[in-house]
Amino acid sequence: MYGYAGKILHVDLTTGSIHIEEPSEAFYRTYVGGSAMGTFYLYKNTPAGADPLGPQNTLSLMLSAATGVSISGQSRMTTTAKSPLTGLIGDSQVGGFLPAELKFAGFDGIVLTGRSPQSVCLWIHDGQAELRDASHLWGKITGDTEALIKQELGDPKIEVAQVGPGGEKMVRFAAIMNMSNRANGRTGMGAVMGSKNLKAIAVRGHHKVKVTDQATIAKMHRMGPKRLPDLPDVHGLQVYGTASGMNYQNAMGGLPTRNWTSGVFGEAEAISGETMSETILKENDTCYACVVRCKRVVETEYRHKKVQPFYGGPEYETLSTFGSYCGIGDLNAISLANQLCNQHGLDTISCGATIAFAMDCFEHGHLTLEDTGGIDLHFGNAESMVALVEKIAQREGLGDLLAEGSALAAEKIGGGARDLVVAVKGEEVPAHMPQVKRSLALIYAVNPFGADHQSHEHDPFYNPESAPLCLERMAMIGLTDPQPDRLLNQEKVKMAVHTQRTYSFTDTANLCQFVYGPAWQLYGPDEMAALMQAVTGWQWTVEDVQKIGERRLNMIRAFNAREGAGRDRDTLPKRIFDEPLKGGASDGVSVTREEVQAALDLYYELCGWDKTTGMPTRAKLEALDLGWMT
Amino acid sequence: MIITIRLYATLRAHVPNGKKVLELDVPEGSTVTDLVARLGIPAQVVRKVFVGGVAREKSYVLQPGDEVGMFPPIAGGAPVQEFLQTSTR
Repeated sequence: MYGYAGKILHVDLTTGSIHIEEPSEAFYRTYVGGSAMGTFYLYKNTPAGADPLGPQNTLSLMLSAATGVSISGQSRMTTTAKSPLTGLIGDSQVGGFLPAELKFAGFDGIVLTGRSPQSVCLWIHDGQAELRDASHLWGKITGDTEALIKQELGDPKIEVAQVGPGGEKMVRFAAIMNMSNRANGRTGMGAVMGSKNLKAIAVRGHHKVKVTDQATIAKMHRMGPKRLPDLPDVHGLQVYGTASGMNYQNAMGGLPTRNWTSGVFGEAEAISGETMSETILKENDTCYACVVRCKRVVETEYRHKKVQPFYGGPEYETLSTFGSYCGIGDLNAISLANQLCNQHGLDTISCGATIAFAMDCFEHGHLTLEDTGGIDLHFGNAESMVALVEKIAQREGLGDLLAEGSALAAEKIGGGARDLVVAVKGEEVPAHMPQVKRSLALIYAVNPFGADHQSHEHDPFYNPESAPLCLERMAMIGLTDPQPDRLLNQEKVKMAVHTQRTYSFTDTANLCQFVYGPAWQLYGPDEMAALMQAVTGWQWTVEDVQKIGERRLNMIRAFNAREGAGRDRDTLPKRIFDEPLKGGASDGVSVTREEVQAALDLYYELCGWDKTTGMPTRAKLEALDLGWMT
Repeated sequence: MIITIRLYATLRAHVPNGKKVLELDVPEGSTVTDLVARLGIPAQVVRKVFVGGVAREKSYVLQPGDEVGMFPPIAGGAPVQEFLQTSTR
C-alpha cells in the first residue's frame, strides 16, 4: 500500500498492553481514515450508554493516506470519542506538525481504551510504542510539559499532543493540544483523554511516506503559491489569518454580539485581523509543508501579563467568542484569553461562548455577585472575562459550573437561564450566523456533533455573485443553481447536502479545509481526487470523494441513533427563532421554525434517512457497506 | 464635499502608506465608481461597498459626510463583471 503506514496502534490503558494491528487494504479503501476510522473503532469497542468520562469510552486519533506527503494542507489528525459535552459522537480536527510526524513514526492512527491507574505518557517512535510514568507532569501547563518531555527523551524535534489542566480536570470542552498552540478543540476530546489519565502522547519518526505518483503531487504543490494571489479568500488567510473575515461578517450583519442578540459589533474593527497586523502580530506560522501560512503569532501584554509568541495567536472564532460575543473590544485581553486556553487546553469557542452566556445570565439577574464570587459579569468587562478563563480551567468557584458548558450550566442555574443558551446538542454555536447565511440553520441543526461551522460550504460561495471559480467547483459536485444567502429553499438544502459530503470527506481523508474544498479553497474537488489517486495509486473520482464523505456521515449518524438521538435533537436555540437581531444589516432578522422543519424533511429525504426519526435506514446503511451498524 | 473611506483587508495595499481610513474632498454628484477611480484602486479589486452600513451598487451617488466601506472579493465575491478573470487552472 502507498500513503498509509498499514499499522494502527492499540493501547489498553487499564492493563498497559499495546498491540499493533495491520488492517486489510479493503479496510483502508472503505474507511479511508480520520473520522470514519475513529468512528469504526468507537462503535465496535464502546457500548451504547457508556459514560464519556469512564474507561469504556474509546478515544481514537487518526490520520489518512496523504498525511506526511509534501503538499499543502495534509498534516491533519482527527480525534473521535463519545463526547462528554453532548453525550453523542465527538469529533475534532487539528493541524500542525504532529500528524505528519505520527505517519513518519510508522502509524496511521492510535486507538485508546480503558483508564490508566496513574498518569502516563505514550511515547511513539519509529514503529515502537511504550507507556512512561507522567505523574510529575500532571498539573503542568502545556508549554512546561512539552519542554520537559523533549528534555527527558532527549530530542527537541519530538512532537507532543497533550492535555493541560483543563483536560485533567475534565472540563467538558477541554481540548487536546499539540505544539502548545494547535487544538483538537471541539466536543471535549481533551476531557476524554484526561479521564484516561493520559497526560501526553510524544511522537518522533523518520519513515518517509511512499506515494505512487510523486511527479503529479510535486506539480500540484508548485501550483499552490502561483494561485494564491488570484484566490482572495486564501490570500486573505495568509495576510490576515481567519480574522480577515471579521470586518466583512460585521458589515453583513453576521458577527455574533453579546450572546447572539445582535449581528453587529461597534468595536469589530478594534479586534479585526487588520488591527492585529498593525499592532501585535509578530509573524505568520504554518503547518508541515503548507504554503498558506494562515496561523497567527502575536506578542503583547494585558495588565502586565505577557502574551508570548510560543502560544500562537487568536483566530477569528477566538476573537469573536472572547470579543464580540462578550461585548469586548480589547485585543490584548482576547490574546491573553487565547493564551490561557492554549496553556490549559480549552476549546476557545465553547469557553468564550460559555462566558458570554454567563454574562447574559448576570445581565438578567440569573447569576448574582454572590454566585460569581464577586466577579462583575456585565458584557464588556474584559478583566472579568480573563479571570473566568483561568477559573474554568481549574474548576474554581463559578468556573466549576461553567466547566460543564453552557447547556448543563443552564440546567443547574434554572429558570430563564435555559433561554439564553446558544448551543445545539449541547455544543456552543460558533461565530457564523444562520440569520444571514441561511444554510447554517440546517447544518447546525443536523450535524451529529452539534453546531459546527466547518461541516459544509457557506452561502456566500453559492450565490449569483460568487466568483466563477467557486461556481465551477460547486458544479463538479452537482450544484449549478446559486441562491441568495438568506434563503433556505430546496436548492439551498441540496447545496448543504452535497457540500456536507465534500467537507465530510476532508475530515475523513484529513485534508485541511482551507486548502481543499468545493469553492474558494486552493484546490477543488477534482484535485482532491487527483491527490488521493497520486498518493495511493487507487482510482479516485469526485464521485468517490462524495461517497466516502457520505459513508462517514452515515457512520456518525448511526452512532447517535444507537444512543437514541435523531430528529428530536436536530433543532436550534430558541434565541435564533424568537429574538430578531438588533441593529446593522441584519436588524430584525430571525430564522423561522417552519423553514427549518421544511428543510429537515427534504434533508432526510436527500440523505435516504427516515423522515420521522431522522435516523439512517437499514437500506441506506447496507448500500454504504455499513450493515454492521444496525 | 468630504467623504470618509474605510478600506478593508487586502485593499489597504492599494493606497499610499496602506492607510485604512481616508478623508477625501470630492465633487458633488460623485458616484462610488468615481471615488474608486480617484483613489487609484483597480475597479475589479473593489467588490463589496457599504455606505453608512448599507450595501450599495457602485452607481450610488455619494452625499456629504458619507462613510464608505470597501472590501475586496473575499467571502466568495467575484471580480466585477467587466473585468472577469478566466479560471487560473
